[in-house]
Amino acid sequence: MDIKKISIKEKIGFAVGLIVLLLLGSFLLNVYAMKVLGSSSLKRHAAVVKLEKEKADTIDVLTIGDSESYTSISPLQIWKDTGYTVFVGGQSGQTMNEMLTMLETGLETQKPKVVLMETNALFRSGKDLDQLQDLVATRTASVFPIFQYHNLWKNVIIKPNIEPVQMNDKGFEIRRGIRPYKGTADYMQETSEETPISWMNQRIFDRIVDLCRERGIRLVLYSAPSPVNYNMKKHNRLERLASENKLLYVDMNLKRKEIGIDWSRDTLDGGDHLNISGAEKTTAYMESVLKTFGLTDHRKDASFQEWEELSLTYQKQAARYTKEIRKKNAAVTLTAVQSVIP
Amino acid sequence: MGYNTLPYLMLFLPLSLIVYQVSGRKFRKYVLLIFSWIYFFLCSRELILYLLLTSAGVWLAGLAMDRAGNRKHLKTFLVVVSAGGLFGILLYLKYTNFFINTVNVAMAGKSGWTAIPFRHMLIPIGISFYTLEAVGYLLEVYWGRLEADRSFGRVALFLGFFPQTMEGPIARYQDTALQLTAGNPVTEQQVFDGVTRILWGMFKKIVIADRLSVIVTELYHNHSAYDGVMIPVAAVSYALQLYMEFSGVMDIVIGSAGMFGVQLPENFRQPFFSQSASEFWRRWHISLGIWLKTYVFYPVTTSDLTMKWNRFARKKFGKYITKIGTSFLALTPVWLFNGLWHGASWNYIFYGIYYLVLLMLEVVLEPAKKAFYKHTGFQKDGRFWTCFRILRTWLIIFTGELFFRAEGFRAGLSMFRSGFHNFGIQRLWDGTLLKMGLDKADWVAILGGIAVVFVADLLKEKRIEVKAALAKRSLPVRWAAFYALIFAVLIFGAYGPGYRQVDLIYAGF
Repeated sequence: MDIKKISIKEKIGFAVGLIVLLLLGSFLLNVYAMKVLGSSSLKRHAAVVKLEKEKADTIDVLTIGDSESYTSISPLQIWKDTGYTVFVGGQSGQTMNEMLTMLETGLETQKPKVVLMETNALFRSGKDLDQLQDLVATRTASVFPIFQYHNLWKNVIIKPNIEPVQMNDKGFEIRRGIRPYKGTADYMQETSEETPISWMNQRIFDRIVDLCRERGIRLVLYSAPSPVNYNMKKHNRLERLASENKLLYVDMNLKRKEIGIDWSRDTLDGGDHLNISGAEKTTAYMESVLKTFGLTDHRKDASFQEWEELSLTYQKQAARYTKEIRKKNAAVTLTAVQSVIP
Repeated sequence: MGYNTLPYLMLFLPLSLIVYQVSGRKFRKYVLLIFSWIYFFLCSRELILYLLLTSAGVWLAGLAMDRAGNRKHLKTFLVVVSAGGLFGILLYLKYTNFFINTVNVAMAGKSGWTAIPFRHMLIPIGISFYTLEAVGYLLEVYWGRLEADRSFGRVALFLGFFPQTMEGPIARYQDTALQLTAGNPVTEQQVFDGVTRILWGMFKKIVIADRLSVIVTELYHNHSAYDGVMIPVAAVSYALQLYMEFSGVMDIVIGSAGMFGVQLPENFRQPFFSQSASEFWRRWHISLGIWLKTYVFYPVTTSDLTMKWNRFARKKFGKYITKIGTSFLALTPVWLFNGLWHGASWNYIFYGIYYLVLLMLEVVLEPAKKAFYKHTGFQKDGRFWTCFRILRTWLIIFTGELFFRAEGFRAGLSMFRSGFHNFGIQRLWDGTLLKMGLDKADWVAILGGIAVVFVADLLKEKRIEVKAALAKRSLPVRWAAFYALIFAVLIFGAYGPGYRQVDLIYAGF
């Protein structure tokens, strides 16, 4: 094809046509994606949509992070105890880049006073180039969602398995299972060594810090209790990171006793994530931190009635599951005791 | 930073094109060289030292051979030291652990023998490719077919040009060096052609090859769990994955280089239309075949040993036996080299020997073949026999690729054997194939994609250029075809959640 024979007008026409098609494709797929949001392939994106659908200017605290975030901070428990509105914008395996996107998405409609950043993702790294790839992909997908939803074409061939999306959990996920952590009790042994943070993750973190500063948001780093994911080397690096940026860093791994974590019943999967029993404790601890920031108690504000209603339902559900866990734990303990009785 | 990744396609390549274009003509070669070194550094970090030292060594050795003039011994010494050094580095980096393992296995159980520990080797990207290019250059200068280049930049750019660093094609100095430093501006036509070629390559790579990689990984990694029909599935899937990926990446490479006005040699010519093993190798990884022909086959054929054999055998045994002997003498090093070049493993060596045997059979059976057509009266070029030969070549290709991809020679042999047990052809449609990480929609994309590539290859085989044919159509039709290609890649590509990025296969060789 001789490109010289094509006039400028036609070339512009082609480019405009391409952009229109990309936008149109993105729009149509976006509409369809909202209909099938419960598909397993869209689970990660459902977390973003939930945040987008929150009523504007209603969130005091936005939490970002990977699965450690949505299994450690329970917004509706915080509501019940303090009247603060917290939303957890967490995704399984959230990368730093996705974390930044989640924060930017939240800031489009919300004006949080505090951002709680769970730190596990800072150590999630591949090669810098892979992370750059991830960054370019996420940025491109934010302009043209066709890149994000393109796999939905498969629904034409395979009937999707769509589960209803829980829109009223404020991002928290109740985990009912229990599998005790059986590793070394003191996984936070003193050392002066540090786990490095990749160049790309550091750059994205800097952007998050800048973004929060520009908006006058208090950024707080926190590490959920998890012997699988944390150790003293990571703590040392995070502490230095926080001090370099003059941020508050709450490492719950060092405050296990104060929080009351019991590894025989507070973990879902052998010390990787917390279950509801553990999350109740870490949430209570985080409440004590948030109380020092002078946030507003909205419980008497009629416009936050929805939070009160959701909280009531949540309390019942959480109480039932916690009871279940304690019962299971008692049975496990009894079996363990019986097994050692001669 | 593979050529199929977004950082390369959306950042590195456009940025290098822009900087190249805005630079003055005489600076453009430096821009290309700097971007090539940056690319290498991004992929291999401090191992760029290997490339820099190779470039400097090859440049100096070339100049020294030039200065040696008619002093044949000195020239020979220089070429042996420089090319030997390059192969020595390649051998050391790629084959040390292979030799250690071989010695350990051979000596295992012998009293007093302590196993030699393996070494942790860091291998720079593309070393197998740029080493062959460098040795090719040195031999050309040694034979006096090429004057040593006084420009270090040109030699360095020839060895390190970023679009071909990772997977070739293995170019000859006289074919690309001058183009690389010509400094011609980027034209709209070059960009258009380049983008089209890159899109086509991306289609083959991310719509077909990356999906096939899922089932290939499962079948070869857990090979002991599969038998019967699943073994041919493994062989065919891998052969297709390799073709779609390698030829797809070559499209991206050639498209990228073309944007700078550099015409790289083609590496594939519809290999699945080959009618024999030898023809297959004239159509598959062509640049490696040409290198082996030029720098191994011809020198061996014209060597004193072969000449002596020719004279001796012609008198004693006649033409037929002489031809067999000469072919064996010349083909053996070619195919052993081919096998070993792909990697330090017995299955690669077997792969080389496999093709050596097949090519020797072609030589041995040639008179019988001629006699068969003569006596039966069958039309050699008739449709039936052509199809038969193509299918027979497919069988050869698929069997070879089964051993090539297997995780070791023993694994290959075990897979080959288990292909004859419990055939169970119903597993092709009873849902077994849907339990290996690919769903029904993925299979539709794979089969649809293969059909599109098959049609494109068939048209090329019939010398119908799709691009040229499209150029004759009206503008809306042309743009529609272009849009279709873009959206096929965007929508059907195996990327995003549920897929992992697949590393380039040949970058690992």
